[in-house]
Amino acid sequence: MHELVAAYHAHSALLNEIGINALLALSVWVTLACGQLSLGNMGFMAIAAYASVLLVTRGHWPFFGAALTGAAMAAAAGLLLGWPVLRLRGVFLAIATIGFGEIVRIFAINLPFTGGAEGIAGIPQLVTTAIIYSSLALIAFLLWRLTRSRAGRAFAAIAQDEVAASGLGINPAAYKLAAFAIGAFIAGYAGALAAFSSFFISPSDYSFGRAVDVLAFAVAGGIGSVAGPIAGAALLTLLPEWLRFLQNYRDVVNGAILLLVIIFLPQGVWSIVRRRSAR
Amino acid sequence: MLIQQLVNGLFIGSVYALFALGYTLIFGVLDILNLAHASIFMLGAFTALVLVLKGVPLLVAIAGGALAGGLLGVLLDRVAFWPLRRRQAGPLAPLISSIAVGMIYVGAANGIFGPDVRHFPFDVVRTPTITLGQATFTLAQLAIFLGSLALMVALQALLRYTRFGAAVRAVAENPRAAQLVGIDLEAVYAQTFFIASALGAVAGILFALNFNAVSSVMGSSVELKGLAVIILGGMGSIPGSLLGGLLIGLSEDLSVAYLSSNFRDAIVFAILFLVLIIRPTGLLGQRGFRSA
Amino acid sequence: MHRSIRAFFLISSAALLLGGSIPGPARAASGEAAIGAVLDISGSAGAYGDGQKNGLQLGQDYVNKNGRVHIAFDIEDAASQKAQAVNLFQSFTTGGKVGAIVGPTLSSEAFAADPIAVSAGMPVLGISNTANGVTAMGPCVFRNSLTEAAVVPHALKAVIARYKVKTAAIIYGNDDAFTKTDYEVAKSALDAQHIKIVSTQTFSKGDVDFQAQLTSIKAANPDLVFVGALAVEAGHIVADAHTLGIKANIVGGNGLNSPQVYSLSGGAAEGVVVGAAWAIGAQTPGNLDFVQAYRVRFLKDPDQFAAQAFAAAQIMENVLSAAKSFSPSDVCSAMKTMKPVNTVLGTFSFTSNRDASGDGVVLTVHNGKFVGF
Repeated sequence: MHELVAAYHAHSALLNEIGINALLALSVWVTLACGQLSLGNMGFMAIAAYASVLLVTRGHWPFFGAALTGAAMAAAAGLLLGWPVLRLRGVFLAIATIGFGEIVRIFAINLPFTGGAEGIAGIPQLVTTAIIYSSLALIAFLLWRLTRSRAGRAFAAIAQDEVAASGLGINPAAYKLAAFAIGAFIAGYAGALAAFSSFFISPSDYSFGRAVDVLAFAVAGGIGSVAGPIAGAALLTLLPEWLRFLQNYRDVVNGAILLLVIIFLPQGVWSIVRRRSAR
Repeated sequence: MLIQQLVNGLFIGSVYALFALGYTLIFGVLDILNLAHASIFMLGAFTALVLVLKGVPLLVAIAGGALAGGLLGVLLDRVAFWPLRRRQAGPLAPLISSIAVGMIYVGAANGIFGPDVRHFPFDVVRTPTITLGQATFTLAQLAIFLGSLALMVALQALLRYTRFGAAVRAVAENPRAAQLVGIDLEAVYAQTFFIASALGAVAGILFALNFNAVSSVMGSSVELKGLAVIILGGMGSIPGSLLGGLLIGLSEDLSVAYLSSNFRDAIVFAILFLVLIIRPTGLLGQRGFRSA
Repeated sequence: MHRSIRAFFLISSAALLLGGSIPGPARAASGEAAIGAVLDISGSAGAYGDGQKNGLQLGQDYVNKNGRVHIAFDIEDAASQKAQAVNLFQSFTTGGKVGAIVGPTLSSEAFAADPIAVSAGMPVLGISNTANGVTAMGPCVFRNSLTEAAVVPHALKAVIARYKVKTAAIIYGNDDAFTKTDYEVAKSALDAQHIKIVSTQTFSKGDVDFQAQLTSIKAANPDLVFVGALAVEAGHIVADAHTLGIKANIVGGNGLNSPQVYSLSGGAAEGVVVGAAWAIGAQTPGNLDFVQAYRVRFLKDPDQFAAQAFAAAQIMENVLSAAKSFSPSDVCSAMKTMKPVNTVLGTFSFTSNRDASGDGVVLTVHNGKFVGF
């Protein structure tokens, strides 16, 4: 027990990072479950992170109030973004959302109240590992319930074939917009958690490269279930730390393992656990 | 000042266009977004640098870099896309596997060459400065501009007038029908990757020669610009990537000159966003090379 | 085939989750002081962390050869990522093996990682953090890097005094804390000297094409151009300014004090004036030996990042030989009471705010080398 406590103290930042990355992976997963590839999550994350930090440090709001307000603002931005880009498909949608994310980042650099490139330092440490993981558990549970609901079946039908889905009386535009807003809310909430567990935020935290990493978490973990993105986030966050001994060639092996997962595990890493337990 | 800004914009735009050709060719034929393209851009530049440092003449080094880039492209196809094609995976898996190969390529460059920024010997890259009216540019810039245009014209001619081009167009149009008329799909895919990646490598070499800097992270500065270029010009269109490249280059320079350098990149992405909403096929998307 | 691959993934992911994660810092031998070092050896800041790593390695050998105290730097790569810097700080502070941490490379990493060391009472020695407020984070956060605020005004003043400067332009990176600080420092210094700023241009990290911004600057025809950039971008800016025929005096801060400024720009860097913390040709005790040893071992000139890292080893040598033990609290109190030390940066001492003291040097590029201005 004592060793467990010590291990927690040594690695709590890493645990927090995994939890936040898992939430981000779930935020991409929601839109993927509805057949849409969105890479705008960093924009939503940034909106909620800056909003919640400013509300707490300047407005003296309580953390949860600020985090949920920030996430709601991100969801509103998701609706605003989702509405015009809904008719785009596949990589076109992905590229439009990349553009959105970059525009948010550039505004974060240039707006008067974000601290610009110097960011905002000295953010109070209000988020604990327990808060992150209970949030993750709650959101994962709600998403799991969603997949079992009518809306979840509609998501799956739209992802499968949009035309056929509308033939079944499903309104694809409404569901796609809902998926966008839910994804933006989760990404935003994760952004608030990240800001209040890391002392410091700056625009470079919300770069295109990270959006791509998050997509890789979801796909490598497996998009067939809620557990997949969480498993993917855990594996791919740990991997670079675990491969530290390779020094200069760390990214080569990191990339090779990601490649092997994509090639040999079509359903993602989570499928191993699943098949084992099914036996 | 306007004329100088126009010259600057056309010049950098031609390099963006050459880089974006690789994205657009692969998307046109295989319908996948190849995010490893920027890493081949970078490795092409490193190959040429190593050759030049070994005393190889510059033009031969450029050809060598293009060859290396092409082969790396074929390798990329074999390890990242071919296995997925075989099991008919959805569009997401190739996106991630190309990211993985990009990571491997960049990681390998970082491991082999280190994180330092390298440069060509100055006697290789220094060229006279030309002043024409109000515009100043170097001979190398002029050569890069004309060379990029020539490569794009050559590619267009290759697709339009050769047997190979006809096969590529047929595969882009409908792979199954192309196979029925006896076209070897895998051969066309491999050749497409070779050409697209060789062009990407040449873009990297020209970029590196002009700015005289080669580093393992150099691809990140064109990766997103390239996406903006193909969206603006029209995905899958070769004249489109030329037009898109030049327009993106010009918009960057003109926004610095007349608006604010703070929002230079935001303006590029705003253009991209508007084009996607108003005209998702881009400026020349309808007349893509599928029907060239 | 498939089954064995599945088994591989299963085993490796189990290993990851259970035992893997961060390898702990190497256990120090008795009588040896272990110091953690968190540097960006890969990623976007890799070019700077690389020099730091070389400087620390050279410094470790130098100190251990002196024999006053035995130092083992445990150098880890944060890959220019804030999260990795945080993870490394946490494993160093909780591992119970290191007495202090050197780094991290970027100020933005310091703002996220240093608080972890502060709450654990672990001393931190920044060797390249220049942003305002880094050392204010805690009573054991030190740095040996002179800030832009310390060096830039001197360089500007020197140039303004020598040439008849009436107008100035500024070009700086607006998405990076270091270069943004450059802008603020330069602007207030120029305002204080009543120099009119006729054009202000920005760029982004990693840019290589500065022609658009410089064309605008050229049109404004300033007498002086202040460049707020790190070495790589600065090299390109200097080269582009030369190509476009800009004749104004080019001035910069610590970021420009690197051989890359002239290696990336060829002869274009002649006459560039730099305010910095260290001069490659300085006759301070041991500096020329350091430069020589660095050239022999790494086949290139050291930059300021390498020099400040080497100086960190010299500082830690003095601190550790005065410390009661190598525990973090004893190391911190020894740092607080440290007497001035001879380093390659000159005679070095901390200010009461734990910053580096001194005004730095003003250098200019002459015949492809940095010399006193």
